[in-house]
Amino acid sequence: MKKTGRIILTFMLLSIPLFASLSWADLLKEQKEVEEHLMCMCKDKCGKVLESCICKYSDQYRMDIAMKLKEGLTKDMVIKTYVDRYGEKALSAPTKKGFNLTAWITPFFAIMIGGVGIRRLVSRWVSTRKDEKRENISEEKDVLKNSKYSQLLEKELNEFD
Amino acid sequence: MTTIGQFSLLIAFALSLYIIIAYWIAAKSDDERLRASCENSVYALTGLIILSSVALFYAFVTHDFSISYVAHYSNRDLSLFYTLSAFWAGQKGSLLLWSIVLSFFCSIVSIQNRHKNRELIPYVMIVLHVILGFFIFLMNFSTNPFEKSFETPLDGSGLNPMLQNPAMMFHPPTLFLGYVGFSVPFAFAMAALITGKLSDVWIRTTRRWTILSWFFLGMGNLLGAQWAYVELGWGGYWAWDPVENASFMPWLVGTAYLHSVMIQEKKDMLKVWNMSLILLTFSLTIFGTFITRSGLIQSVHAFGETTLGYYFLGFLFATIAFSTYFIIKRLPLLKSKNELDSFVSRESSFLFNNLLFVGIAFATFWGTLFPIISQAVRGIKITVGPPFYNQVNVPIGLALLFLMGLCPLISWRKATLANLKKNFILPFSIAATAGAALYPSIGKGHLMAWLTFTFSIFVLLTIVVEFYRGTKARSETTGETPLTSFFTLIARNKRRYGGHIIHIGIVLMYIGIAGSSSYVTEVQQTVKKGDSISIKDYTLTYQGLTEAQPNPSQISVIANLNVEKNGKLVWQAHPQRDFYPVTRQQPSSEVDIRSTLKEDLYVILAAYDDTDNLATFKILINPLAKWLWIGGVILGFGTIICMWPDMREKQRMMSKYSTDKTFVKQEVSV
Repeated sequence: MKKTGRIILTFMLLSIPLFASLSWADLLKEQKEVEEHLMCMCKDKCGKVLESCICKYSDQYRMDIAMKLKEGLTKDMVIKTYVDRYGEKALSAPTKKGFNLTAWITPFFAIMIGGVGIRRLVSRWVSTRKDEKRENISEEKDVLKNSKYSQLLEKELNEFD
Repeated sequence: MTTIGQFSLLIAFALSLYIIIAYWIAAKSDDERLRASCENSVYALTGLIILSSVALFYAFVTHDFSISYVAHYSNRDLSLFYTLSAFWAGQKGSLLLWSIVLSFFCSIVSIQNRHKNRELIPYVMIVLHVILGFFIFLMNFSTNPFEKSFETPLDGSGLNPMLQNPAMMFHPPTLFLGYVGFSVPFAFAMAALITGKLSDVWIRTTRRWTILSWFFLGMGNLLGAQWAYVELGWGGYWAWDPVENASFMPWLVGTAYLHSVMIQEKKDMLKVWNMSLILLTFSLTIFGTFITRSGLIQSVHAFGETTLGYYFLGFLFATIAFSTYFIIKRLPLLKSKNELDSFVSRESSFLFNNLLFVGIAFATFWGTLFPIISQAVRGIKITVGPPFYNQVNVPIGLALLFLMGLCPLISWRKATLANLKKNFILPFSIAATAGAALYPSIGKGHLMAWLTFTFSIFVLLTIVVEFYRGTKARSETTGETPLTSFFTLIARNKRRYGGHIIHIGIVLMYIGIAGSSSYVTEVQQTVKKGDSISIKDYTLTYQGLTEAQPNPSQISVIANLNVEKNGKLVWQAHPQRDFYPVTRQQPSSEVDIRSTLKEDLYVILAAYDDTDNLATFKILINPLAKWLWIGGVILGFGTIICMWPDMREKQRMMSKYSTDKTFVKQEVSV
């Protein structure tokens, strides 16, 4: 911890003149964005995004990123150096191209399919109910038609005719 | 004592086999004496597991380091509180914890059903003891909690400092009560499928089990989040770690199931879907156990033993195959009279609610497994971290939040558009107006958070309207005072209004998550003694370091800061770093938090140099973080109301199901 503190302090003291000539806020913002895109690749496999990690190794990664940004590398270039060093697992989320795109679209695609399925199912159930209602009404009509009063009426109408 | 513990496990395994076979024979032959023997065996098995657990507790308390598990997870300096919690710190103890919880549940199920569900119970017990027998098998033949150390050390390795937190005593047992609890409705569902007795009896019998398991699993997740927030020191509480996901997925599917069974109870629909949901919920609990023990997924939570993972994978496949076979076999009996009066009905809104819950569970499952899929397809390892889950699950979660507000406005059977508009206009207008007013201050650059707040207002208003209308109607009908009517309203319909209270808790949790995720302010600064750090309204002045030794194996370096807000001293922060020179464990960071309803001030001692009197602090302000925990408490309160015995509902059920012959024979369980 003492060594880390010294390193941080030394870095900060040496960097003051340089940072004074750059936008400090912009650099910090860029640094944060890079850290959000990367995982902490420490030996303990803490599994945290670098931006949230507080393990002792994460400080070293942060200083490395700060140095690279200070040297003039863009965010994407800094991220690429880590991907080149550690592979795609250094990224905190899959890229949105190639096979990795399936990671992103599959859940929404599944929900969409489910939604269409529910829509069709409910429509079928509603039409089943409507058919049943129509059948019930038609049966009621038949019942009425075949009731003794209907028959009597028909008989008298026939006699009248 | 160790020998007693080990021997108990061996006898327990033999007894579990006896129970499975004897219950099968008893069910077929209707032999009452054999059945009584089985019941007694269930209680005896519980006794054996308790004995085994007591033996392991005793080994921990007496520092019996001849047992490798005890040596690995405790030491002489560990307090009694954490020595006891070390029981479930590792793989072996957690398997024993699962077994003791399940054996207790088996005994309770046996006692509850001594005079009812006679046809179902033998098969329920068979399924439960197959599960229990599997865990006891693992402890006897694969990963024995009483395994001897190669050489007995003078002192143990101690408990991981990160686990030395009060939440450690409650988080794993709570989580396991949830995980294991879902075995009961699963067992009843399987028994119903095996016997072909597919009326609602099994659902009604297990309703409280389901709610209780869902509650404990939810609380277990929340306690874990709280532990992460306080102990891990990164300012967050949920990292979408694979093991966290593994306990989140069954909770999501369990929530879908809890909603969906209401439709089966009211409309006798969705029988196949409900069977599938409970199968999926239970399978996900086993999948979660598999994830932590397979070594397939990298996680700080994982135990990582690869051979045990294969056993769990085999058990998982067998469970899915067996259950699917019976669902397909019983499809003709499960077919219900599926009809709806209207597309715009509460029934169909519940279906969409289910879709979204299962959708989030699927997205989480997909993200958890995608690294393995990617490696299998492309041969390249990738990471699926929080940015993926946040981008995928947050929009779906927002849709769910909106649906939570919309569903109560829609009637059962058929809602007319005119009626829906009438119920919808007022809460929606107020929420939209409030959202528009909030947008300039909180919306720009934080669209999802702003939508969360707007939808939350909408949902809370619909719930308030529900309570208001019900109270008003009751008060006008009975002449009671509004306050009396309010409480009587809840008392007379606990399920409905308990559910609304649970929804209030969920909404508050949404608000807490949105605030503390999207509007965090942070600063990291190295200062010397006497210097100050400013963040928003706060000024923190570094006073120096002190050293303490709370116990012989721990040295703490404590930073002291005076915290002023708007010029007034409001707090003294004491973040610290703990070191373990004796056990040589990783140093840990203990943050200090000042928590108010508005925001949390979160202070971390990142680094220090006592020679030069310098210290580096990382300070965060997490707005509204406290509402996440308050929401959890309200969720718990709502669950208690839902589960409270209700004589009126019991009588309603009796009259509704009096034509069901199996029902008439037994006492109603509501």
